[in-house]
This record gives sequence, C-alpha cells and structure tokens, in this order.
Amino acid sequence: MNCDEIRELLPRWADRDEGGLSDEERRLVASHLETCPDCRQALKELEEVTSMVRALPPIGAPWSVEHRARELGHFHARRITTEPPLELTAALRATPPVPVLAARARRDEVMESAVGAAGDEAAPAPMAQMAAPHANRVWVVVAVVVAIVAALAYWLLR
Amino acid sequence: MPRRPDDIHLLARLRHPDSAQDWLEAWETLIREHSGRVYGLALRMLRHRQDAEDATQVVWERVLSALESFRAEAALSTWLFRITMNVCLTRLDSRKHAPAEPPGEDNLLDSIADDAPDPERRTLGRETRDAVERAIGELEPAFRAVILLREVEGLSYEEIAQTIDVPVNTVKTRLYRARLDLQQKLAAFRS
Repeated sequence: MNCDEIRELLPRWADRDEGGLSDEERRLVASHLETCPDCRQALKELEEVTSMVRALPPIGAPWSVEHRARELGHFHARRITTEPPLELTAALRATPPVPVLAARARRDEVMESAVGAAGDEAAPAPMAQMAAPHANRVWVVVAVVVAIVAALAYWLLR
Repeated sequence: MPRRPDDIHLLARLRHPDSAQDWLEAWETLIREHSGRVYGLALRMLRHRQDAEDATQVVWERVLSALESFRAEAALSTWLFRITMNVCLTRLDSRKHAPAEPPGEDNLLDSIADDAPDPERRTLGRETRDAVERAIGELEPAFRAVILLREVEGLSYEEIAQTIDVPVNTVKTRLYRARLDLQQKLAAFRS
C-alpha cells in the first residue's frame, strides 16, 4: 500500500477496534507506520485534532430551555388528569343511536357515573380522575349536552 | 451506548405512572438529566442560540408524542439524539431555502462561553476552543453531525448509524471526510 491508501485507513486505525479494520489492514498499516515518518506525522495530527474536539466543554442548557420544557410537562400532566375515564368513554362510543327514553336513561347513567367517580373516595383513583374539580366540570358539560340532544330528539319525534 | 436501568425505569414511569405527580417527577428527571446534551447538540448543529432553544423545545414536544412508540431497543440518549438530529437537519435544510439571515458565528461562541457549566472542564484555551468550534461549524451539516455524535457525544459507529438513519459504512465514510476537513481547517491554527 502507498501513503495515500494508508492515510485513508488512518481514521479507522485511530478508532482502534471500532474502526473495523481487518487483521490484514491492521498489519499493513502498522508495518507502514514503522517505516514512514510522513504517515506517522499524519496520524499524530489526526489524533491531535480528534482530541481537541473531544476536549470541547459540555454545554449546559440555559434556564429558559429547562423552564420551557417543564412548562410543557405541566401542561401535559394537566391534560392527562382531565381526560375522562377510559371505561366511560368506551361505553359512550359503543352506544348506538337510541330513542329518547333510552337517551334519558343514558344521561342519568352518565350523571351517576360522574358523581360516583368523583365522590367515591374508597375506589382506586385512576389518573383520569385525579383532578376532581376539572373532571366534574367535564361531566357536567357532557350531561348538559346529552340532555339537550335528548330534548331535541324528543321534540322532533313527538 | 448500553441501555441504563435508570433510563428503563424512567421510561416505565413516563408511560405508566402511579399518579400525575409521579409522571411529573419522571419528566423533571428526564429534563434535568438530558436537556443539557440535547440543547448542546442542537446549538452546535444550528450555530444559533435562539434557534437551538426552539429546536430543543420541539424535541421535547416530539418526545411527549412518541413516548408510547419508543421500544427501548436503543439507549434513551441515543433516541433523544435521533430526534434532535431530525429536528436540526430539517431546520438547516429549510434555512437553505430561506438564507436571508444566516446565523452569526459570534452568537454561538458567546453562548458556549456563557453556558459551559463547569470551568474545571474547560481544558482547551478560549482561542483553541473557538477555533475548533468554528472549524466544526464550517463543516457540511452531514459531516458536522457525525463528528459531534462521535467525538463529542461518544456514540459508536452503530449508534450514529441509527441516529441519523444511514448505513454504518456511510458513517465511516462521512467520519473520514469530516476528520480530514477538520484537519485542514485547523492546520493553519495549529501551525
């Protein structure tokens, strides 16, 4: 191998095992370096530059970066605490369109579930129910919407 | 970079927290332990302080939305670097299409001087550090990415390949070119 070919291998040689040189390539580079001062100098320069880059100081995140990330976390935490309980949303989604009387019954059921979820302190509290004031507000809105829809449907079908 | 038990535990808490408070504490830990490296990588890639801050925020937003899909086959930090690189390379690419206000070099160098958290670790003199940072900044983004991931973040060839989504052989080629470029750019300074 000539000097140009050897120098192409030097960065991987400098990375030792991870450079992935074959045994044959290692042997060739080693024997070439023993006899070629120019390539030894090239290797020395390469290692100097590499060590300069490795010695760069770490950069600390400024306060504003961490603050924004924390705010994002708080916003996300508020969202996950106000999501409706999974079993209730699944039940609502699975419910087919129903006549007025059934809708009224459903409304009552939703109201009971909401009141029960917020009021039953003995029951294990899933994350969705942890912010009770927010959760209550959501259920009141859901109940009002269901009631309005039921009333409209009753008025139209009458 | 091996997966750390702490990282696995942290991810588990973020996915299936015991409570909202538990989730928030896990998030705080994630931010505390990793925001420096994410921001540092973004700053060195983008060469602009405000841009790096915005990119870091985008990284955390993506982390939030991708937490469920992360399979923990790689180290948490490697996954964060992958997201960071995606965000940075996209931003650099869009800058190419709108190069009206290229970010100033001085902005970055001042930031690094201000932000370096531990004076003891400033083993390079200011002049040398500036020269090295400037030389890295002059590299093509694809070369800059591999140099930073390899020499500053200490990733293996395999991890770099995963991070920037290229074959390992491409990583080797880019590293070779990047080191050669750096050597040339720093030759005048070193002499």
